[in-house]
Amino acid sequence: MVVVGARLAGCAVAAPLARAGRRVVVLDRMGFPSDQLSTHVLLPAGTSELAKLGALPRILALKPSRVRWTQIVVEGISALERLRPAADGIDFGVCVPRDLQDVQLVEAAREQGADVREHCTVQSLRWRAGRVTGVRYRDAGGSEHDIASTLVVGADGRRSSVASLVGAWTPYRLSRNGRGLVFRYIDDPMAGGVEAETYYQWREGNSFAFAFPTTPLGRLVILLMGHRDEASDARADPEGYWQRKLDEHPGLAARVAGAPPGTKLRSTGETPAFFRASSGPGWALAGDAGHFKDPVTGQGMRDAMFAGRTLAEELLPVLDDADAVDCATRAWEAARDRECLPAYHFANSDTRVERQSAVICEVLRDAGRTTDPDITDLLGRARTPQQILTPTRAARALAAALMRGEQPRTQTLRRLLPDLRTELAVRAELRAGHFRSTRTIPGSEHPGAVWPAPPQAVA
Amino acid sequence: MTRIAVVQPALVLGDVAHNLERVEDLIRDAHREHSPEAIIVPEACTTPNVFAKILRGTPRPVDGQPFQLLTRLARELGCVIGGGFVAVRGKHAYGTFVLAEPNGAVHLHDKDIPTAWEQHFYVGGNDSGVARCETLGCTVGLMSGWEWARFRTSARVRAGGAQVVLGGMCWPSMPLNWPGPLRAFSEREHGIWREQARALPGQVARLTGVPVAHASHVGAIVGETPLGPGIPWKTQMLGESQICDRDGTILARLTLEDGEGHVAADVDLTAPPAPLDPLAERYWIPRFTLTTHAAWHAMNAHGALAYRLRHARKAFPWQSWPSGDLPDAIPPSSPTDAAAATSA
Repeated sequence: MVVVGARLAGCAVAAPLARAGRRVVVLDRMGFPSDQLSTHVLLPAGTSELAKLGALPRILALKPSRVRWTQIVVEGISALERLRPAADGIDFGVCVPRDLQDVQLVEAAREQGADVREHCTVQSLRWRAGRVTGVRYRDAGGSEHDIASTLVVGADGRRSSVASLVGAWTPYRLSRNGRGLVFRYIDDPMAGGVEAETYYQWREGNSFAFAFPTTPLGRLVILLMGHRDEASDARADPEGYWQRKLDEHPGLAARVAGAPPGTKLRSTGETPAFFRASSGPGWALAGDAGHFKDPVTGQGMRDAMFAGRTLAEELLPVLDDADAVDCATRAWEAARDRECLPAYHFANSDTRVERQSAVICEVLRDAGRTTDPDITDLLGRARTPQQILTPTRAARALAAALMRGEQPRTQTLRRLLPDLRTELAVRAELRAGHFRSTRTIPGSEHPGAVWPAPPQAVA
Repeated sequence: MTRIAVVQPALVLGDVAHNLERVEDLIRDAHREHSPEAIIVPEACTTPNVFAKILRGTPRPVDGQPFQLLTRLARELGCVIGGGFVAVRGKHAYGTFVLAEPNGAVHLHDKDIPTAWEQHFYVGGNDSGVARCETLGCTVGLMSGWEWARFRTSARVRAGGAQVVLGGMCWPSMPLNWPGPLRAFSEREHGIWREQARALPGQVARLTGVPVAHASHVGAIVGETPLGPGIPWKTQMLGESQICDRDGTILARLTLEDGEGHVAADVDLTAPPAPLDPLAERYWIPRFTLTTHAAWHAMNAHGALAYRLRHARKAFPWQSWPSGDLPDAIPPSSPTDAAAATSA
């Protein structure tokens, strides 16, 4: 089997297959270590995926902060929650810069038998009778090679060459991001304390800020998610922008007070969410190549590994039968969508650049009464948004918001109707379970995304 | 003048992978030899349609491997390619004929009535079977199997203003292994069917007043006998791939004896349709025998009931697949954006 792309999804699909004795060649145009724009964050379910991939010992050897808590602050209302352990008992999240992390995934895949070839660029796919049967690639020396394969997996990111080559470049479902992503690393002035075991997020006005203890111990990554246009503000005047954000988020300012200047700010303003057709005869798209959520909820890394691992699990029993492989990849795509749709819609909701609703504030106030896992189950994928915000709980939160009146009651009610309509449409879609549904949901999916032209030829 | 090639394949029952490879080879060969502007392969190019349990598992997703084969070859070879297969579209399987253009445009047509035993495996569609083909610069009528043999199909194509009829045929004959007097009977029926298959493309050309390209299966095949478990139905696909001019003149032809191959002919697609024969108030164009009529009705009823029962029990393997559909008219697209089945 050939996997194109050797990061999260690529290694997650390659490692279990190689471990089972299958011949897996992984091609990546980059050499590792190699950095990547990312939210970095993994909750216990994500750490558990690292373990299943066989990479966790290597990651832990990097001495990452082990994060067991999350503190969410919305409009001055705070909830501190312990992260719910994953099913295998792993009870901490990790946050590792991609240049440190991805090379460990590559080495872990190699240890398990995958043949990872760096600096190798896919040129074209081989087709026979309407089915992909292999790839042609160019190595670092410029020589071209052919590999025959029962399945070619494109795990080569949002600008996937494999997606382009199989004719799946343009998503069948697309939503424009409202927020951009700006981040920098700094030394943690609270290293060693419980703060260094806690993911923080602040939601004030229409701006979000996050502080994640990262790797190695004693470092923090700060992510700022304001309007997508702020990415260009951050590029034009980095330190002015940084100071503005500290002013908007006093909690963040307090968290980083006393820290020396951090690394330069990095940013992106174009992160539309999408679903591509992700399976076809002899091919599949895993990770960001097939589906991408707005980064605001930090689910991308976990979902990429989940997609890769579950694809490998579907394939293992059938890899010698081309027809069965095609059935398996289609079934896998449908299952991936069932897993990811709730989080996709939630991220689409969260990327709206607006003040948090009074109802959400009340839900957070309710969650903050204990330190048990609650809201963070959503980020840890232990429960769906629909399971967390049940109709009863939403009604209670609405009543509390109206009684408390912290936000104008008319505004709360005016906002309720469209939000309710969107939520009912999302629930109806999840119940229906249609394959590759193209029906967009107003309020969740945002128009105006500009989809880029496909790559010229190659990965 | 426009050069059209028809491919006459000898395919293997139920072996979809092998058959698609064979079809690809024949299309490429036809393209090399004739440099045509259109190449037509038969309906059911994934496997011959006879009565056989193995066919319950041979439908493919409408955007699956057969669709990819036809559409990708159209782009690569720069010519129109048409061919059919049993396709899963939404909740049901259909006898879908695909006409793919080099610019990525694709036109789909579902056969209106599955023929006799075919009712066991799929259901009929209700589209017009008429599409505008920009590559050929004309309106095209699409026909599959015994749609060719019904007056109403020619009427539909005439009403749609088609300037050429393209399509495929999968016509297995009567059993040729029956013993004693039954053998004489079936051989007589076989002879009648051969003659009817020979005449049919030209008849459709005269009825519609346009050139026709008719690609047909050929070769020996062994199926099963409906309501006769364990009794093999050993027969032949009748061949008769033809390209006929609008007056019914056969311009190119492959018979049963010719076996596998391809032929091509030049036809004029610019002239307006000029039907020479009237549309009769009958159902069938050929004068089918009583036996054919009886078999048609009995097998239709048996097959349709069996399909409905099996479908209700979700007993077709393809019913467990996640399934979407494609529109009948797919607009031109770039190679990086091929059509994929979705749900509304």
